[in-house]
Amino acid sequence: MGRIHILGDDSLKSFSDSLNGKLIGFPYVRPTSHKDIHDFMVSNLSDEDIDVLILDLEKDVYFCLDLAMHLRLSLDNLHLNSLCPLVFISELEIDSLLRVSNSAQIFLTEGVYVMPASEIRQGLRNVHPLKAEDYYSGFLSKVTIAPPSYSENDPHGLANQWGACVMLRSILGDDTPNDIPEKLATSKKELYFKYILACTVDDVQALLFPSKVVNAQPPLTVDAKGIRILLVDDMAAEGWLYSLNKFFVGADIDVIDEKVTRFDNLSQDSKRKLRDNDYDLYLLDLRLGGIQEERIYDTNAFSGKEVLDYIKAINRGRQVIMFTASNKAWNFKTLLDPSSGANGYYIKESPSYKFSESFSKKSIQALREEVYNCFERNYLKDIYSFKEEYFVGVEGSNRMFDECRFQLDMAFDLADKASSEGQYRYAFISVFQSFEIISKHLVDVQNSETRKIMLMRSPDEMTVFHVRAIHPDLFNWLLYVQDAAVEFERKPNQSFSQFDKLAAVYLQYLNKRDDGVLLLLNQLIQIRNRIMHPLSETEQLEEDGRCRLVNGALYKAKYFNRVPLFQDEHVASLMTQIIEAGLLKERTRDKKKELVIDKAVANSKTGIQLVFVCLKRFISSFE
Amino acid sequence: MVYLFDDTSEEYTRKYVNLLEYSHVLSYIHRAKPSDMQFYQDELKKADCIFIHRSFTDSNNPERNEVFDQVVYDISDLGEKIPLVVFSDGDREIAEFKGDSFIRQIKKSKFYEHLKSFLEDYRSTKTINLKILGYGDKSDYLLAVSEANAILSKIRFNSSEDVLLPEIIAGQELVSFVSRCQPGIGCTYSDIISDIQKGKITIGRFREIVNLIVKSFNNYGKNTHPWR
Repeated sequence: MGRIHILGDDSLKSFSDSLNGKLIGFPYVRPTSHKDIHDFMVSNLSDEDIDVLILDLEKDVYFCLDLAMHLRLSLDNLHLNSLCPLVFISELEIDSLLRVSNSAQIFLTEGVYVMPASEIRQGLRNVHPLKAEDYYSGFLSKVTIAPPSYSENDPHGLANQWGACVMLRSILGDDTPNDIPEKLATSKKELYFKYILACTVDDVQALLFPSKVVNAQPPLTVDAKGIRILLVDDMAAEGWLYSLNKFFVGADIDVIDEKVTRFDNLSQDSKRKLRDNDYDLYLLDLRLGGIQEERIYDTNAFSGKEVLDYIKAINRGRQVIMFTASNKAWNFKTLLDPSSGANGYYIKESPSYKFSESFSKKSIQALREEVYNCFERNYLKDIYSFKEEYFVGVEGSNRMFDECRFQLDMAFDLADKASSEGQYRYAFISVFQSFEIISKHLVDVQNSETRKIMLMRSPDEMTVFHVRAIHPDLFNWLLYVQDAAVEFERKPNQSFSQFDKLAAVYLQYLNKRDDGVLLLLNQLIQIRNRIMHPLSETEQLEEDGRCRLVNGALYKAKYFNRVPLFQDEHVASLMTQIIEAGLLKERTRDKKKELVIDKAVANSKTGIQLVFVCLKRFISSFE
Repeated sequence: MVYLFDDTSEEYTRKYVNLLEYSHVLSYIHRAKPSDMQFYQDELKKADCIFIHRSFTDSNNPERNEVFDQVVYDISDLGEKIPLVVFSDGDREIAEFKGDSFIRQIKKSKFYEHLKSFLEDYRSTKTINLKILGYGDKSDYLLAVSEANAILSKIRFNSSEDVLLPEIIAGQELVSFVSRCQPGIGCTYSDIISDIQKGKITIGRFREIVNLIVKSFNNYGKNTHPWR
């Protein structure tokens, strides 16, 4: 059973006693801010069971009205108490009071009563709380709260605090963490913020009866252990850094929070971070100059766009998500340009959007997907830096390199845009194409006068290929995996396979000791062939037979862990992904067990990464 | 002359008032550093009133508020020497008065919203009426509400049928209220007390009259309701 609570001074003591009520004195010093009113309200009313709240309007009109408005908008702090009947003591009638302040709008809402003190005892019999189901129609739709003054001068500060609050709500629900920074905590006490929060809440009942909420959604966070992120945002301190640290669990978030209107104006330290540090993700604000960039209409003129161009110029594989309050279509178009744009876009919510809570959650879910996508696409940085850095010294000096470089440019573009299985396959084939170029330029099966590797048959036409030039190390390795040597036997009428040629290049021309590259290459060639030349079932079996011995070698290496290349952390991780995806198939043929990587591996980034690892080994071996 | 110290953008102020239009009565100081204050000291001593933004920072050092401190404490002495208004980004609507010559805090948007009316009044009457700055065009209405509340709270637990006694109701609030209600009220404070002394007025009737007067302030910005 609740109790009558009375807000007033000591002159109401006997009145309060006569009602068996609880008198709550006005604060000795009247609050000058909404934060202070909120704190006063929470400390005096949150732990009470309030039947009716009587407010002595005659003693302080403004405080009583502001407090009443706070109470109605504090569902998450006061729960059911926020709906209690509000009875204002006033000898003046409502008509006379409607214009005293904006908070006087509350007189027009349900569950609010104005009566002279002498009539209260009688009047209390007929007062009713605001019903939860009428919260919108009976209260919220009848009031409007204006933004605070400071937002008129700099709307960005307010919008960013709101955005950070909304992100926090979407991630963690309505619970406010204990370690919330002062700025965000204060924002949440602003009447305007409370009003927008109430306007956007999905389920009033959940706030009124928090204990009844079951099956709460798990936090919408990102598992980012070991991930390095750079946040470039002049408003980072407005709460974003805090909210993002809650969002990216385990991440190491670095910050550039300078207020500049041009990239050139960034400090040397910030430029150094952008240039030299390697991050897994960049979160980039569009308007680092805040209100000073309010009137820019050309997307390319924004400071954030200049920073984006700089980041991408260093490495187009760097993953950038625009993190901005701008929702202009022309900004999306330019910033997400497929050739050099960002990889994702998150619209920081502004209070003026009044997006619903569920919409905000969807927006955070979409961000989460984009983030994971970016994490996955980090491999593009390796491809980009390799193609940009390795060929610098040799560009133009060698036709084979020129062609490889050109091919890798195309392959990068395809990989960068790939999102469907088909697109990933194109990208896989495109990277693989460089092997074809190498083979074309370096292998000659006919003419021994060229400077290329010459593949020829021995007189009896039944031994290993290119007997004269075979590198002893090949045999060392082949012995190591045993039966694989048979792979190189060729019948008199058989042509040299692509694998034959590339193995010869690797072992002889490049003078490399094989550490598993040829094993991987063999698999990749099969995958490539199956994509480019789909086989009938019979042909498939025949093809499998041709390859079985190398694959048998794969098996004997006990899932790769005895082959040096597959001990590499990156390759091992790729193989784990392949195994987890069920794409490493075990088969028994002729009583021998063998393993084959399924061609479906080319339907994802894993295939591109595998073929790139192999290609990098090849190309980086050229002197 | 009144002096306005505000370092926020001129774009902002322009939304409310064209300060140039009032340049003969208002001096606008957008930026100032402590060394400028020697010049302003002499001028400001003759000021009729000073308005200053709470976050006014020194133009040579945005981390410091020496100019603010000099203006508020030395030159104005918190309104004691020269009437003073401190406006800020705080978001409560109500202006906080400390006496008649010092507004300790007023929301910036409200300050600028009311500034034009204040300057018009100052230009024509040459007097400083901070009530206009604090309450704007609604100042008479809001003050009437405040005074009416103070008066009526003295009789709030009395029955409407009771006869109003002068010793309960007499006082400064009623004097101010009657003064504000001129000339529409059609009588003086003494006339009203005299009527009350005659025992002619019930508490219910008195409440009714005060309500009608406040309503007319609400509707017309002035009292149109006669006492009798």
